[in-house]
Amino acid sequence: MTTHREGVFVEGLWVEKEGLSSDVAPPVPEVGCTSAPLESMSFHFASYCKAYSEDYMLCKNESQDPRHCLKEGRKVTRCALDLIRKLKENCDKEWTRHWECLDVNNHQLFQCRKEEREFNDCVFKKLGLTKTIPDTPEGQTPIHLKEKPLYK
Amino acid sequence: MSAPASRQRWLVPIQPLFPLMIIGVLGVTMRWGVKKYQEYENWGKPKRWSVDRWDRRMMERDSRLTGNVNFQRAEVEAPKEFLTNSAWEVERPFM
Repeated sequence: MTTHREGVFVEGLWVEKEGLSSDVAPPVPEVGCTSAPLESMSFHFASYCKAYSEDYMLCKNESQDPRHCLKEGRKVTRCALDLIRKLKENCDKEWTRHWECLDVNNHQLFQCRKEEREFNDCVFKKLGLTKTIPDTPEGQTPIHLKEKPLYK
Repeated sequence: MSAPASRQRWLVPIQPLFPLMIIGVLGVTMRWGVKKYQEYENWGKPKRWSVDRWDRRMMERDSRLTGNVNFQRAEVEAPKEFLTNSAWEVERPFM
């Protein structure tokens, strides 16, 4: 039934009895970041974990079955955990300022360019990652590097 | 029998603008009040607008990680409850 009505006499939320059993998949801790920190580090994650996420996407293209791509998914999760650990050690303050700014501004990246520039500078200095927007046409500065984005 | 001539009070005639200023002040107060009420509902942050399906599913994941849609956290690993909790409401059968 796909009527999707709200629950009427609600007694809490559903909790699974056990998670995924260990003989199906070795346990990997899940990423503990919510949406704003993830959004601000998304481009750095793309350049840091490019190989693993491309593997995962190619695997997903083969079939939509969740059991098919568990291994590649675990690799992506471990890479993301590694990147978050490095960001927290090196660039914690700039990262926090950027995602707190995003949180107040409806998670829109264009409202927080100043904090984003400081965060990108810190990440480039400490970890060597740059933010690239894929599919920018040649000869056009990317939108996050333009000094006056509202001008032509 | 000469009627008393009506004279304007100030050099620049701003008296007809007073009602407009009152309406302006009321409008600004109303918008400020609505904004403050929305921030009160969303734990001190402005309300999210133009929320699409992606944002809704990310907000549901946020609520599973931190208990409330408006709270953010930036830890490395998720709490143990995250592996088994969900956002599905459990309903008592009543019919």
